[in-house]
Amino acid sequence: MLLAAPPAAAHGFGQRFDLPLPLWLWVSAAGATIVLTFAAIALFVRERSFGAGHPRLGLLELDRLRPLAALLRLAGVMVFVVTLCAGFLGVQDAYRNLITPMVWVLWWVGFAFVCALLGNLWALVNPLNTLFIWVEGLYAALTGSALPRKLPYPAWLGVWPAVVLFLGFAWAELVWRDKDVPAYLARALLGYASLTWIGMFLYGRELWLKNGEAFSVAFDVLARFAPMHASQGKLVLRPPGAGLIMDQPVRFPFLVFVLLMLASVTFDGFKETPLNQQINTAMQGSRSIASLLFELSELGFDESQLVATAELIAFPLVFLAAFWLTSRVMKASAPTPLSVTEIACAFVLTLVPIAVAYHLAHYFSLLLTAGQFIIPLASDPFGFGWNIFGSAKYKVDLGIVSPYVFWYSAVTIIVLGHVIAVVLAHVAALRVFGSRQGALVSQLPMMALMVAYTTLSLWILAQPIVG
Amino acid sequence: MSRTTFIEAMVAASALILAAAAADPAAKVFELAIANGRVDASRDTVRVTKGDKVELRWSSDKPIALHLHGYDIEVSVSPQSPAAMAFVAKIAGRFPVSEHRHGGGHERAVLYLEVHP
Repeated sequence: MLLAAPPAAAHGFGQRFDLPLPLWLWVSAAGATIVLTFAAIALFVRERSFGAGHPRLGLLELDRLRPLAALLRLAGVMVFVVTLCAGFLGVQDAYRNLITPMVWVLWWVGFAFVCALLGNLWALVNPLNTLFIWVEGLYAALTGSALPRKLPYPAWLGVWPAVVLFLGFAWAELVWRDKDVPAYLARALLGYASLTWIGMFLYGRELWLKNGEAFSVAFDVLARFAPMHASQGKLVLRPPGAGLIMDQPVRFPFLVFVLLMLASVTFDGFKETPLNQQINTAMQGSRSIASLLFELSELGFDESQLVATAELIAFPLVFLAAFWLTSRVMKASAPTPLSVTEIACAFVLTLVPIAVAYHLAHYFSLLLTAGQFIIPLASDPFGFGWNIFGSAKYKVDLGIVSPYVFWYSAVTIIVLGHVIAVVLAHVAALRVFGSRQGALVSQLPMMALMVAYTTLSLWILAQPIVG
Repeated sequence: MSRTTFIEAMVAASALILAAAAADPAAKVFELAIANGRVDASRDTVRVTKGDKVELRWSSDKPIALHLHGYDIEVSVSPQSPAAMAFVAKIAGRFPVSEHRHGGGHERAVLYLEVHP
């Protein structure tokens, strides 16, 4: 009764109807964030045991999961093929074609949730990887030798290809006007898949997954937060966030990738705030910017897309600048032989829990509402009027998440994420600075940054959604 | 009381409550005039409480098609013929009313309806 998709909803698929956090709730949450941060610091001053390694619990041998894993891989490939076919051949309506909710809700939002809360499912079911493995196997069976690897991967390149590709993906998600047109989305999907296969062919499958397949890198970052991971042939349980503590600082391109992810998640929320609308109006109202935008719009993008593109590039740069500045203050506050960049690389992953928490808070009502479109579309993926599983008539219930549930869980998740981040930063500081004294002093700028980041996330959720 | 009679009693009670709500003449009525594709600037958000009977009465200086998202109600308004969106605010949330144009382009919200719990 409450659905009936509008036939030409230019507002785009996956629109959110959440009420903003009430003022009192966002103020209390921000207050709780600050109080808990100080409580944690006080605790660090007394306790000595932090950072001594974390408990782990072996769950079961991975070998026993092999049949399940094979089944999941096969399912991954089947879903990929059906989704692609639906995009190309199905009805060109975002609400009646499987591809839109599959890509933007179930896959991008859903996999982020599974990877952050359970473990790295993407590494297991990635259909691009599975299909390439099958081709490798076929080649070996036919020729009797392994697929030759053509080019050595330049070490300096690191995860830069993934950085560029993820930026392209973020643009498609947040700026691209036609992202909900099934055939265009299918084309983009196929284009990305082909690029991935070329990369795998040129540099080897594993190397490309590690450095060039943007989603393997992104879901790996999120999965470091997860309580389950595979280690030495076993499925292991660990405290949430433990995987974000590294023995070695990450490399610089990886730092850029992480900050790009965090910034694009924040921009996703920010672009729907009234403040962003005011910035847009101001930019288009200023004569010099307006004329520049007008000239650029000859390229085929309208003014609002151009402004959004500029913002999408500016956000990671601002994040990078803020983080570099924080690292500089950290270096100044404690004696260390490390350079500013090395300090930044040692601490960047400790910000991930805040991003994970914001992502969960921002998206979980979307996942539960827009995600319901999968139920009718599973029965009628192409919009041809089929009813394979008998669920084609299912009506989406927009009232499934009450505002109270949304508000209280969003705030709880964000404050929890912040606390985990604060603890991780302390552990990282003990490793980097050695002495407890140095660790404590050096941490203050990092704590300030984290409080600012968390408060910004809460503020965005307290803004009415516009646009 | 057996389980069936209890459920029957509950159903009867809710029917009574619903009937009372339906008979309630105090629907929340909002008169909204559109000029140049915009509603009066002082009112860009209409706030109601979940369960309210709501009536959005539209008039416009130009012909315009309006779409209330979420509740999915569409009306066509023109200077000669005002139109109304009448409904019970059953789902809480913030829902845009936008101009409905075919052929893509960004839909600008004319008004937001906030249904508070």
